[in-house]
Amino acid sequence: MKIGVSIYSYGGDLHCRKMTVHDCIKHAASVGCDGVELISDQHFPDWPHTSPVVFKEMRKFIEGLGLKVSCFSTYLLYALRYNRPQTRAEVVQEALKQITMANLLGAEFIRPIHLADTKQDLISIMKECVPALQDNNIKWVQEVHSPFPPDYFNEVLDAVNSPLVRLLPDFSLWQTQGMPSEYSSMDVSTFEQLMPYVAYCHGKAHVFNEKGEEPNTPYQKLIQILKDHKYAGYVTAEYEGWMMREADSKQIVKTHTDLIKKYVN
Amino acid sequence: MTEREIQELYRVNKEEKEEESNALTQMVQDFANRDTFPTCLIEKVRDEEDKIIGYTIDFISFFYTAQPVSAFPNIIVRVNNREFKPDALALIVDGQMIPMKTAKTIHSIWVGFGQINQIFIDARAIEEGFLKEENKVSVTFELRMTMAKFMPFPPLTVKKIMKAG
Repeated sequence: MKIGVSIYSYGGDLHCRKMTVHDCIKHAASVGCDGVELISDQHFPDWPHTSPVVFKEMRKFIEGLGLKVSCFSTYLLYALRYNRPQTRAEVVQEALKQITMANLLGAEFIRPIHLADTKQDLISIMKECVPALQDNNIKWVQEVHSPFPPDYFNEVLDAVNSPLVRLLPDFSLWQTQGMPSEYSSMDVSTFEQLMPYVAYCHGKAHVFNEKGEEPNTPYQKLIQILKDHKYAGYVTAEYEGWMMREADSKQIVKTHTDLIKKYVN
Repeated sequence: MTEREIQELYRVNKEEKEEESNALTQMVQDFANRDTFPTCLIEKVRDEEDKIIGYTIDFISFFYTAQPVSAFPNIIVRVNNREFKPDALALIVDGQMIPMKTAKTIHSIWVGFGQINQIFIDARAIEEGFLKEENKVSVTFELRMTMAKFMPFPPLTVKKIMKAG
């Protein structure tokens, strides 16, 4: 199993400009992880008009630290324009652009979030992107996050029926407390049912106790399920408590990755 | 579940978990109070002839992703209890001045995460002596959700005491 750090975890210190994206990546490297996840909208200047040069330089910087880009997380906006929803063709064009950016970045996975009108829309968008995923050697991981039911996207993945389109479960699905209105408290057994689809995981966290545990998220049980299934992909630390309270990002990321390592190893 | 049921889930979450919904709003409010105004200064803007043409206030979007300018369809600015009309206001994003009245139509210019932007107030709306050494500033941001159509967000007001520079 591989351990990742989402640079999203440093959001509080990035937002108030205490740290730069490069500072965060260097710190992630220092805590001992295999890869870093970057968020289009948070970590790239001039988004969505970022220069291709920026992606190539970012890749060089990250690989120079001995890390990989585990995932490029993006958003496909449904209501970009004020007067009409995006058309399916516009969304596909944006997705293809983002897949190309992910390739320049050297990412293994791309996570585009799209809250489409219907699952059929999502299926057709994904199907149109499969050839580009193949050309760019990238997998699309569909994130399933509370309050959606864990199996919400299974039928979408079945319909697309491609090894290049897989699932990214976020541990918020099994949190007993997290972001207000955004935790599901699902039984851990529901994770088992997702395993045939899973290619990447977000180890979500909002708070840590004095023992370094996330008291509202069953990390030990979830990671045990991954081990039972001989999962070899990433569990990426994604701390979100910075929206709720001020915290020292560096200390939090160290605590979080230590927690994941404790159960993975 | 169908999409309609998912939308219902969000609605029910908001209605039945009102306390949590309020907690979510309060959480973003706290975040906005902390980070929105990094300098708390009202600064003069001068033209080539050194004439004051307006005043700016630095601001950072409190949303957790970059957003097109049109995600902020209305920004209500009050200084020392005076509310300025949209005609007197503009947003400055990466040096580009966008009149408030047209900002809601702009989807190709984006407000970055953690990026410092400015609210511009036309000098014609501020007479001499109106600004004090310290000023009560209140800015209400209306936010249009761009990710989905079924996730409304309440307007957020951030109040600060700002020095006139």
